[in-house]
Amino acid sequence: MTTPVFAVVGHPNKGKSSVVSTLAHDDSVAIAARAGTTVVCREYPMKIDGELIYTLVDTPGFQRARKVWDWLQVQQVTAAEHRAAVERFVAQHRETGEFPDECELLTPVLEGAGILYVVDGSLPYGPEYEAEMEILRWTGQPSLALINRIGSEDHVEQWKAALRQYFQVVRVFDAVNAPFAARLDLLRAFGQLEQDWAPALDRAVEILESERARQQSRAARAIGEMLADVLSESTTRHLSTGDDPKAYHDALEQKFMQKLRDRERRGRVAVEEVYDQHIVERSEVDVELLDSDLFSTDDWYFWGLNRRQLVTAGATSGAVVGGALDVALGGATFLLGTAIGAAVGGATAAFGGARLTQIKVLTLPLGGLLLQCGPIRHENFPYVVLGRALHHHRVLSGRTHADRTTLTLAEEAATGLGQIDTDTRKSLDAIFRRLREGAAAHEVCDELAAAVGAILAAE
Amino acid sequence: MADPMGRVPSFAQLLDLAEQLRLDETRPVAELRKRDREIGRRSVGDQRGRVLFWLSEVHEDGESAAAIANRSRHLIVAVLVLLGFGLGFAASRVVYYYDGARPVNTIEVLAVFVAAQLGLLGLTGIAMLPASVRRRLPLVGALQDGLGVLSPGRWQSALARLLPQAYRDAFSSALGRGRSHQKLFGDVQRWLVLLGSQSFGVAFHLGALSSCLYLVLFTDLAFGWSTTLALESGELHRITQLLSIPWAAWFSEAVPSVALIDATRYFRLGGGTLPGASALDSVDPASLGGWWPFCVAAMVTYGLLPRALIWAFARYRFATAVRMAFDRMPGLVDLVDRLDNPLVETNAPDAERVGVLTGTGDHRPPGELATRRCAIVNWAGLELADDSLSSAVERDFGLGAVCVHAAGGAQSLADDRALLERLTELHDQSNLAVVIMVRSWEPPILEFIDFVGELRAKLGDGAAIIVVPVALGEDGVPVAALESDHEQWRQRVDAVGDPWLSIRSLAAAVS
Repeated sequence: MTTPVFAVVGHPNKGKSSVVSTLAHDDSVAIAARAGTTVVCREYPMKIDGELIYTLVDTPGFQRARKVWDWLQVQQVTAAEHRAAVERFVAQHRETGEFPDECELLTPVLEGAGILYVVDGSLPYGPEYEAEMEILRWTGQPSLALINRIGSEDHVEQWKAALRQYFQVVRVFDAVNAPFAARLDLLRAFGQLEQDWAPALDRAVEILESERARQQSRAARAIGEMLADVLSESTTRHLSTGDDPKAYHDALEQKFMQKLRDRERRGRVAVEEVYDQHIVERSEVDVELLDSDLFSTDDWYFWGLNRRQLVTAGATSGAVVGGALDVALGGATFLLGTAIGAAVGGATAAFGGARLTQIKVLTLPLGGLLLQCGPIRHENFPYVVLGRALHHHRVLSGRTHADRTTLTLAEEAATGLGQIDTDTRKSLDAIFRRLREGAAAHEVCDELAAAVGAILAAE
Repeated sequence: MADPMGRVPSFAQLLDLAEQLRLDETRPVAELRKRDREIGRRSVGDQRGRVLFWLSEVHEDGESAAAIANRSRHLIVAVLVLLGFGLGFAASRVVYYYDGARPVNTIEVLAVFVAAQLGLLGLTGIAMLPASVRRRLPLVGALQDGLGVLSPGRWQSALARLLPQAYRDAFSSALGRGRSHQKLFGDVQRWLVLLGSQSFGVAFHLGALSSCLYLVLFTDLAFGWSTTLALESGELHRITQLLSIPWAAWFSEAVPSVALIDATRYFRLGGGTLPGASALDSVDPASLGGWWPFCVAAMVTYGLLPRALIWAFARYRFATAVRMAFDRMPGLVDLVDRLDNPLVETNAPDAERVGVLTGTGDHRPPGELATRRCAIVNWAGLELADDSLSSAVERDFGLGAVCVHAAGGAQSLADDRALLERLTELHDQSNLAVVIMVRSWEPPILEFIDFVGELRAKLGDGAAIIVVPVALGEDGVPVAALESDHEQWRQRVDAVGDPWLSIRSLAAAVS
């Protein structure tokens, strides 16, 4: 059994390269507004551990379809000889340079590739496409038409009516915005073109689904590591005994905050690498929301827990401390410790902690002072960082490799923390509490990754 | 410390892993995935074993800096052991010093080799308390920090300065890496120091015992006991009984009798060195040396054995810390992921060749036309009435259309050729311009360029050919193209390099 090959063909500038880029997860594919960007076929083999499963071929667009069609019609052949006529055309013109694009795009088709004919459903149908479709029909290869919508107008029904006369399967596929499930669905459809191709495509889909799950797990780990680092980060400065610590407060605080911002950015880049998104461009304006100051508390209730959730989280922490007191006193407090702890914790979380960073001055045993800024103990801070990371992940994981626009994180589309189930919330509360109590980042990293993984899986 | 099955990583392998993962951070992920999966498919065993196999595979030939650092560590420990042995030997010589004038004071032996050692063991215990206790009890942290300064294990950094340059550099580099991963390597460093200290301690006790046995074997030692404190023989007997419990049942010779204790007490003043010695059998002067089995047993039991046990414990905890640091190394999870999961490749293996436009590419604004008349070509089926095209051209370009013809699209090539002949005739008759109106949203393809080229060949140089990209307005009227579409057509037209071929845009929507 030969491995399936699919040639993505069509008129210039109808999104062939976008379809290939999205399906091959390859952002190195040149996608340009100018026609004729693709001049030679480029293969995108899908391999699993080196074993070839299928190959996508990006081809140049038709440039002289009417002339080719004219040449074929002159041949006066029967339907049984159509394919041979196309083969003769390619053979005769390959070296002449008269039809370089047509020879290039027809070669993989004549070698057995399935045809994926791409049109733009946002533009009106035109009769000049018929020559292209006739040529492809003459090759006799299994074929599928993809209606890709590049613009906002809708001419899909008009296209469907025309394409159904030439192609076995007609599907609508938004190459730039296709969700992951739609991409897999399309691959399954490729498998339906030829009976022999189905097992390979089914296997490819299965592997891609597993790979996606692994990517999610890797992203969860990257977010977990970033979160653990940010929450346990601190900055210190040694001073002589005679120095005035207050003179160094601002500089130390700025340095500390910059460290946190840098770590958060590194976390984002790590998640982008997980999804093989290498050329993401950020505009300071466009990503204003996400790049808004990490320490701007105005956004806190948007990104992190709201006031009610915050009171609950604070109350839980307080109750744990109070409960420990109850246990220590053998229950003589009649659980009063738990109740008081919960009330104090809740109130502190909601109304206290206006100042995020606190600077400690420690006296060193061998003389001198040590200024320490961080870690941040505020109850909502972990959820703010988490909310921002989750939003970035949502935007990024839904982005196709054909999408070359600036990474836009619109405020109206952001959902912050989103829905987190009770068990995960409790687990997060416990981890954040341990970090506040001084646990090292690596001690909680696995648990954090698991909790973030649960959130990503549920989204 | 690496086991033959390769499941337990050594300190050198830990350093190697840290170094290799650090190097990998700068390499492309695709390259790492390919390399690691290839190794992963050949590796077997548990996760740690597979990582160690990977490490051996990716490691370049030659001795790594980590291996040199580890050898440096062994050298330093060897120096510490020698120092400890020497110090123990010397201390024992001092304590067991006997010049015939005054016997060896057993109280001094107990103070140095039992009481002091038990005290040091207590401090070692505090130094070994886990981080969780340190976090809860701040005093423990301060004590541990203080003890750390005194620990002989700390001398390792100083001793490293005595090593040859290459060893010194490798060791410093390894320590530096440890510091940069302080949170991860903290335990490893702590147990490394403690293990060094215990090696020193064990060597100290071996040195002391060696010295003691040497003196017993090759000199004639006389033992006694003396103290300024108000300690009676009975009390000392109880203390020695207590201390002898571990060996009393099977080594009774090493338990001092009351008679021996009574007989061997001495004072500096009055009545000679050992006034009670007359109570002993005068034919058995060796009785005065009867203390030595007790001293040796006490040194072994309260000095050497606990120190050896703690050394074994420190060695075990050091190995555990190395293993845990190995398992928690940043980047290890990703590495295991790359080793264990299938390598899925979907990208093109080669770089893309992108087409470039050829021609002069110079953009010239359209000049003043020599004619006020034109023929319009509706290229590729622009779905607009001929009248609306004519009126748009007249209004925006001041050209009166003498005719409107269709070409391209659904027309056959024969139709196009016939049109070219017709346009040539019209031009020859009245020197009119040719305006080709195209669907702006469709890209300019070579078929169109061929048509323009053939038209130029027919009309000859100097005849004006104007390309007008047109968009469809509401109610079926021609409107100006979007700027991006117009730009695409402009680039293509400019690339033709025809000085009499120009591109124009409709001024505005025609109502």
